[in-house]
Amino acid sequence: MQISSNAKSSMRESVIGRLRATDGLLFGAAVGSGLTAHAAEQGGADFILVLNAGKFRMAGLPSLTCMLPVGASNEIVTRIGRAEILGRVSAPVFFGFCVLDPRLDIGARLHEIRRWGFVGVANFPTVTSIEGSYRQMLDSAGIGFEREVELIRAAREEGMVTMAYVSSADEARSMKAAGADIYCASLGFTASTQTGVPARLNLFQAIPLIDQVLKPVRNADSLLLVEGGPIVGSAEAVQVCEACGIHGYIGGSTLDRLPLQAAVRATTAGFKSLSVSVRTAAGSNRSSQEDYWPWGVIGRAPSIRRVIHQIQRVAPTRLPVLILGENGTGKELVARALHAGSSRNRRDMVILNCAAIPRDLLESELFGYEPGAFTGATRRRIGKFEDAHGSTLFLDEIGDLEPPLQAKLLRVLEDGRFERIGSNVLQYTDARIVCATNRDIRKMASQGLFREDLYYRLCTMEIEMPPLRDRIGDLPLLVQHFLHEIRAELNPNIDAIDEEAMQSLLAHKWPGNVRELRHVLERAAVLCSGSIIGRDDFALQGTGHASSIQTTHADSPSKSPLTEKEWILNALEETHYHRSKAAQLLGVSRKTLYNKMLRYGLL
Amino acid sequence: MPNLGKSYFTFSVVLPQFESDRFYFPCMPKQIHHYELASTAWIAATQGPCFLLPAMAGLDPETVDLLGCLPIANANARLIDCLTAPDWQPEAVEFACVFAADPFYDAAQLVEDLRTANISGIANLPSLGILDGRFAEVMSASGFDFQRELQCLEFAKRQGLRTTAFVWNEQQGIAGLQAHADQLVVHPGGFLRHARAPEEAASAAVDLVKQLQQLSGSETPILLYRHPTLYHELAAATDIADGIIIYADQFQR
Repeated sequence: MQISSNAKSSMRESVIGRLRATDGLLFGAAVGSGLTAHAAEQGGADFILVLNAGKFRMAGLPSLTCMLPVGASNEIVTRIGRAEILGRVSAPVFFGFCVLDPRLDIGARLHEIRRWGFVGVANFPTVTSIEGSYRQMLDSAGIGFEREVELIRAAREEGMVTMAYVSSADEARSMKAAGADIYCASLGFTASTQTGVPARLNLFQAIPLIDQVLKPVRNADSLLLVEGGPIVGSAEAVQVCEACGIHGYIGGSTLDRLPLQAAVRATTAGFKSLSVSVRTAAGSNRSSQEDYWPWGVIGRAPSIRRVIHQIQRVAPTRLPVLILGENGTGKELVARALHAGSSRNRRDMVILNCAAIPRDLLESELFGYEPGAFTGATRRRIGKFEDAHGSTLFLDEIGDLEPPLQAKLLRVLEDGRFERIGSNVLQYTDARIVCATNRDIRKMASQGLFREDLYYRLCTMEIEMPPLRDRIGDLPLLVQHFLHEIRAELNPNIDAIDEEAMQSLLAHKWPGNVRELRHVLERAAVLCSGSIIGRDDFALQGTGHASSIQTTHADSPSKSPLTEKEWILNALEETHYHRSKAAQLLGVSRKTLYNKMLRYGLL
Repeated sequence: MPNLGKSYFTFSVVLPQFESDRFYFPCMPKQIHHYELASTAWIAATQGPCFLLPAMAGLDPETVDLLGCLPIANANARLIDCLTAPDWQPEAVEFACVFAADPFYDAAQLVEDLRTANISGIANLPSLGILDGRFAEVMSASGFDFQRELQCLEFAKRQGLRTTAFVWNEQQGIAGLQAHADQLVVHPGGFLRHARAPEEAASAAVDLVKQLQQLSGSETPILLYRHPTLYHELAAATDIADGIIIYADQFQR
């Protein structure tokens, strides 16, 4: 059926008029499925743009897959547009037209596209996404942007609405000469930590760039849009559009992938948390769970299963072990598991936090001292190495160990020999050394901040505890485990937490990891007036919602190791605030302790 | 005069609109001008090894490497379609060219499909190795890069396939050697973008061949892709490289 030029022109003007008459900002939905198109229209999308990128996003891949040879773009868009979208939505539908194939007869394909019911086209996938000499070679060979300009010109002649993706003022000028109706300033693929696309610009850098790109085409006839880059939600889109004085925004991954992932995640978490609640309420058999999670290392994530496997393999040996992981991930739990799984478990594991003790006292803590070794050393004291003879010595925060002590530790690791301070008599210890740190000790070693020879001795066996955010699927199990303990210790009335509360917990980033989770649950259990912890029980603590759950402990991975003040507080707590005993424990005089307490406002 | 003791390969292409027919150009440089459009039955009777790259059928030989990694075809699907066609005769094909960073086609599936089609060699073409600048960085950040292709080739090698790594620069060449590819092919396309004249690009490609030959200590053959735009400029390179690959479409009538 032939369409007269008047009819063609009328259709184009009608669509443009409709877009111009939109209240507020224009919103274009860049989609790859009928489901998204339909939902976007229901939400008020002003037009639908069918792109191959949308299909790849629905497959869980980043938008930039649209530039790869994993499918002929035009065939994909045709299939989705015709089978799932055209005739099912009333909003104008545009075709994301790939002109990169030089064998393609643009005019003939445009004719078909129009006949199928698409009202317009956009140059997508586009070489405007490409930078560097590869782009230059495409342009030089005549298979780059020149073809896209040809598309816009031919589409205009075909009477279609023309949308031009541009990333520079020169490109905008070329598209203007070809007769584009709508210009979309492309800021590149949407930045996302999930897809790995780095953020090239922030919003404030994007605004002048958009101004610059669209400057040649700012006139009463043009519709100006923006897409991609740092715009990751409606608030940013509105902010940019208003700051730049442009008509609207085209949403792709911000429309489908990001919100869809969040919604599916939350819904799935809802099902999971509900099932946990039901099991808890029914009194599930905890002892069988304890059998399944040996030594209290709880989780089904592959990373935790790997840790359990490593513990099982390494525990019976006397190899030194280096445990890595953020604060609160359970490094001490792993150390205890290694001790419990060894033949040394008849004696208690000896623990020393290298960051909790002032540098000048750490040496005496580790190696012990003889009377007269230094001022105040009135009697012999054995150190942790001797104390841990035949057992396990867990050195936490090993990354904070001073270089001179690193050398001494290396020697003990090599042959078990050391000397007490103030003595030249060699002592021998059969302590198995397990170390832990939250610092990047490999990097420290490469930068000379940690002895490389000691690092290589320690890293004979490394166990890395994953942060909770990387195994968030284990959270319901952990909640169940902690609730059981909390019932016994704090509030016997607590049965479970409700679905909404669980969703809040699942949405939180948990910088303090498992320890933070336990503290949050403990507080909620104390404040909960019924038997089911709800989201409000978290909010009662002034958190509002779980995304702002705070912990009062030093849980943040960026938090520095224990300070002297905390070290003193720990000693005071341990001695029930008996200052003389605390001073003795700390290895300082009572007067020194008093002065320090005064300095830190502990009096 | 080409050294006939060396390896010579050519690409064979398949036009999708004629599923039962294939263009095939074998790799005997002395006789290149004799070969024309051939049927599948003819392929079966052909002597000499070739690389099979159906995805780029019909493209201008001079731009095929530029267009290969763009979304104008499903490179691996077309390859598998070709290999599973009822009249498929694999005898002439030594290496199947795959897009080895395809997120929809994991290496295990790819190797399995090649094995089913009696293919014993794999090469990374089309390749993201040609990309550069920020576009390459963004792609790489999402896991689409030359390194991913090498991982696919390494996997294929562990599964017993012979591997050919097409490389565009020194860094990729070294990575290809480290990945223990059975042979490397220096693709001059990467040098063309920076060269002021074709001779300069040809010279850079030859230098890279020599350098990789030194690094490999003659353990790994270093071949040269005789890029259509550098056909004459690379003539001298045939005496240096351990083998030559010619894009046969340039001889298509």
